[in-house]
Amino acid sequence: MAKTLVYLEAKGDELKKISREMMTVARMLGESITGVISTGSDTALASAGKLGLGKLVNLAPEDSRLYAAEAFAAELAKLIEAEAPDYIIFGQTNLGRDLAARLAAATGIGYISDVTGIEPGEPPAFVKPLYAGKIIGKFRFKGEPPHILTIRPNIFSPAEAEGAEVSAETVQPDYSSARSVLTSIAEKAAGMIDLREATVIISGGRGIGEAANFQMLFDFADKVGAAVGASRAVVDEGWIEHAHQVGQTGKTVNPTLYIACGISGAIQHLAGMQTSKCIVAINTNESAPIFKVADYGIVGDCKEIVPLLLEEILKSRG
Amino acid sequence: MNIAVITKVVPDTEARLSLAGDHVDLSSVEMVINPFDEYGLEEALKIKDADENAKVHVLMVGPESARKLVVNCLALGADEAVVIDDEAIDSGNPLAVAEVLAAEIKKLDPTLVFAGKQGVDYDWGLTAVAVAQKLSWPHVGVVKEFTPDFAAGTFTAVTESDEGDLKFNGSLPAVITAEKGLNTPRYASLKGIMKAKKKPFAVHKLADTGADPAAAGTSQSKVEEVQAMHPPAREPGRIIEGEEVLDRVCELVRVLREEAKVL
Ligand SMILES: Cc1cc2nc3c(=O)[nH]c(=O)nc-3n(C[C@H](O)[C@H](O)[C@H](O)COP(=O)(O)OP(=O)(O)OC[C@H]3O[C@@H](n4cnc5c(N)ncnc54)[C@H](O)[C@@H]3O)c2cc1C
Repeated sequence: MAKTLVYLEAKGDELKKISREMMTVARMLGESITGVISTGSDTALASAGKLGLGKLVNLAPEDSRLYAAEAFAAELAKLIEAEAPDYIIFGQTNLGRDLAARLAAATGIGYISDVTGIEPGEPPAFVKPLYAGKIIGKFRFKGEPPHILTIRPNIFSPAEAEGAEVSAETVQPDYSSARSVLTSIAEKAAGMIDLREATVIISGGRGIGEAANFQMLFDFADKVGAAVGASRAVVDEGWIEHAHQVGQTGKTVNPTLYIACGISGAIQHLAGMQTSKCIVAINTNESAPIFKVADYGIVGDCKEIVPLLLEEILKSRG
Repeated sequence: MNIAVITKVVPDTEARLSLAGDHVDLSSVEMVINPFDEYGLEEALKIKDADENAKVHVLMVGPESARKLVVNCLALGADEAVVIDDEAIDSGNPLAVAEVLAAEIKKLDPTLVFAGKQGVDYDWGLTAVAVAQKLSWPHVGVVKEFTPDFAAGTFTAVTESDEGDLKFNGSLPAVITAEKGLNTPRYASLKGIMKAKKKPFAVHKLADTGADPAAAGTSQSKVEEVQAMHPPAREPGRIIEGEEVLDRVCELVRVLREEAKVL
């Protein structure tokens, strides 16, 4: 019976969706699951305890010492020694990838990042996009377990809670030896949906016309419950922050619906969004490359179409 | 003060990639400096701009044929370059590459090492972190704001996350990996291009580096690429027609609800 260890993540009082996605992957790969989390929230801890874990460990954060790759990797290494998991699973999130890499470097355990698919077998194969999605690579771990992987958010379906409830054991990481420490989090404005977790994204490119017109996309996002994306061209123009950029040098996103407004569809942009379930393109140029990947397209001016689209979507929702 | 910038070459982001058997064939693909490394180099050059005693060293494990690309880093303002080209190095294994880079970096005794947040080829995001581990240094990954305080031997670094901006405090020396947005990379000047030709440029073999040949070698990798494939092409979509703009928008909303079921 294969054992797994999952590095769960919470945001405030809530478990992140990726935590439930990791549970799905853990159940695909093994049966007994140890969870590790680092949260100061009892509510988040209680939710984690209900996921169906055999054991739950909380790496307790301190007031101004919230995370340190060196210290956390050292604690995980000890836990791996004690629990002997076959797979150690992280989310491909900012801290997940950071800790997975430091742990792999510190222990020499084999590491496959950003996994988007798993093919069962003995041993299973792990699939991940390469070269910004132009190629799909299939990998296997060599040698004895354990093995480390990170999974891309929004790919695996989130698992439902099941099994008995466990309460968390607290472990105090030894921050004294850590020389790089997360000291504070500047929390995002409420209501902003993260691009990587969004189910609907509306993105703007140079065809939006000017910086002020992004307001139209933010209105849309606000009312429909979407996140706002952007092409690199408009980020480099300074119309919107880099945090919104989608593509090879921006974020890779996976929404159910991606609406590209005034975006030509350069290969580096497609790299970040072509795995979206449904792509809509709005562009004045009927031969824009974006139409080649779009499921539905409208040839026309996005400044005129986006407000109408918002109105019609709201009407259809009643 | 020495600053090291580690880099690699990757296929041009515009390039079409073809397969030879079960793997990608890069033999005729145009290569470029990994885009994220450009932000790492720029951050090093900014420090050099402010401190004329700072020396910027570019290090790359890769083919000597990429010389022109590394010389361009010198044209931008780096002082010296070392390319480590040796078939005995398992260049596909980040831990092996890190072993070689860490050995070269030790000789420089730098205050900072900059790298890109990941290579835009395999996106492992592991090499620079493993360099930090091998040097027994701290690292901060995916940095979008970096402020060193050389007098105090400390730094602050900001990275972005889905929770908000994360602020790290740390001590030097450290490894920092760059996110786009950290800075705006400069262009090479004519003067820089002329000067670059005379700057030190060394090509090393594995034996020159001082790295452990076993750790750098090909038998260590714990991950095997079984097969590379082209992704399935997306089904061709359709342009929504209609007399008036409003007709097209209404039809779009209908198909999104009824056919695609995504609203
Ligand atoms: C190393 C590298 C990395 C890169 N990384 C990224 C990345 O991560 N993400 C990214 O996006 N790009 C990236 N790029 C840049 C990419 O090559 C393109 O330059 C960029 O995506 C173009 O942005 P755009 O589509 O907004 O602008 P343009 O290409 O200028 O396209 C504007 C589009 O708007 C349409 N349009 C004009 N007016 C209207 C209107 N009123 N209504 C509707 N449509 C209209 C036009 O027909 C056109 O198709 C990268 C490039 C390099 C070299």
